[in-house]
Amino acid sequence: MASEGEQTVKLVSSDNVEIVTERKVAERSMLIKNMIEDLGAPGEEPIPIMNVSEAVLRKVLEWCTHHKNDPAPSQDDDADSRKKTTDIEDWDQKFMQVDQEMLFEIILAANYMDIKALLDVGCKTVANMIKGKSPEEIRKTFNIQNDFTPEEEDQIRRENEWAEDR
Amino acid sequence: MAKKPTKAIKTAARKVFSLPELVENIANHLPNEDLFVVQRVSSTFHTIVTEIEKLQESMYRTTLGQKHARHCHSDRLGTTKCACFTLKSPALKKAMEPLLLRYLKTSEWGDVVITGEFTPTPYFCRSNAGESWRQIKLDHGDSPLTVRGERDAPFELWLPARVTLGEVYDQFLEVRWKRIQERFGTSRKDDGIVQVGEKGEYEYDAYYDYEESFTYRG
Repeated sequence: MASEGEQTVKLVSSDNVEIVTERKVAERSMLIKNMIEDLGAPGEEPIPIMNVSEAVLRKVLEWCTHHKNDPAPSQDDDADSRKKTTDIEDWDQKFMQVDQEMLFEIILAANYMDIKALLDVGCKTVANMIKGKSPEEIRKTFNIQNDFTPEEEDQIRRENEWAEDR
Repeated sequence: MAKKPTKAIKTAARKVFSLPELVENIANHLPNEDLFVVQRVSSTFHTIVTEIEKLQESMYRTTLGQKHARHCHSDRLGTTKCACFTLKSPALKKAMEPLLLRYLKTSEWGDVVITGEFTPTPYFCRSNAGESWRQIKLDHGDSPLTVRGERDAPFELWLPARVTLGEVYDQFLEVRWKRIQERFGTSRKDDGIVQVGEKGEYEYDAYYDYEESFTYRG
């Protein structure tokens, strides 16, 4: 039997495309890791990734391949309440230079597939796009609907006037 | 790959922005000043920013002092910003209400010095203070502040280099409470505080004595 590192697994995207990848790469996803452990016989049964299309899945696996040897995150990282740092390493930054659709698809996929580090990179990228913008600019950038009534909006604005002097 | 990008942007982005755990993750990476802005974007953002304790804490636990710090870290405030926050924050304003701020500046040692006077105002019952305290969720830092100043004299607060708005708030409450005690003694009903009735009527006439004796002092 092949060692764990050389094993491959078959993933099936939401649009029914089969992708074969290294087990180690695929196991960056906690969803897949748990599935493999549950199935017991990796490589034989294709693993359905129901919510992720082929294009997005390939992109996610590209990230997983680059980061397959990253050390597992320590418990401390989770305990850290506010990271605030939006520094993204160069490779990840380049990786995230995609159109907005893909960026958000990657975030959704990372969330679904439970890849915390990728999810964080995606969210940092969005945070960087938000920084320094006004509420209206943020809405425009991401096509977010303003669901406040004018009264609510006015009230929130007034409550926070004191902090926005910058 | 034949997707129309414009339509897809709407779908994927909208999905992300409608999932609270993802909005929280994004908000977690934002500096404090942007948190104040994003809560005005949509109700999801508003709910996340106002209901998640660690974000609120971070927004209000603002370190001030240190002359050049404001250029290094979004959390730290220079004296000017400190003054802005102190004067504009409803919670801090409430806390310092009987205290009239005269000036706020950096001392030659880099400390922030706040001086002012104790002046009468109808809003100094402790219940107000408690309410705004909870609302703003300010923290208590680890270094105690030094209060200088004589009885009934203008107050002077020396804030060490690393001080938080929470400590300023605390200090304002303490100074104000001391002055009220000095004025009325501690034997009064409740904890000796002049209370404001529900309809804004003063429960104790003493308030007026107090007002008279303090208005032209200092």
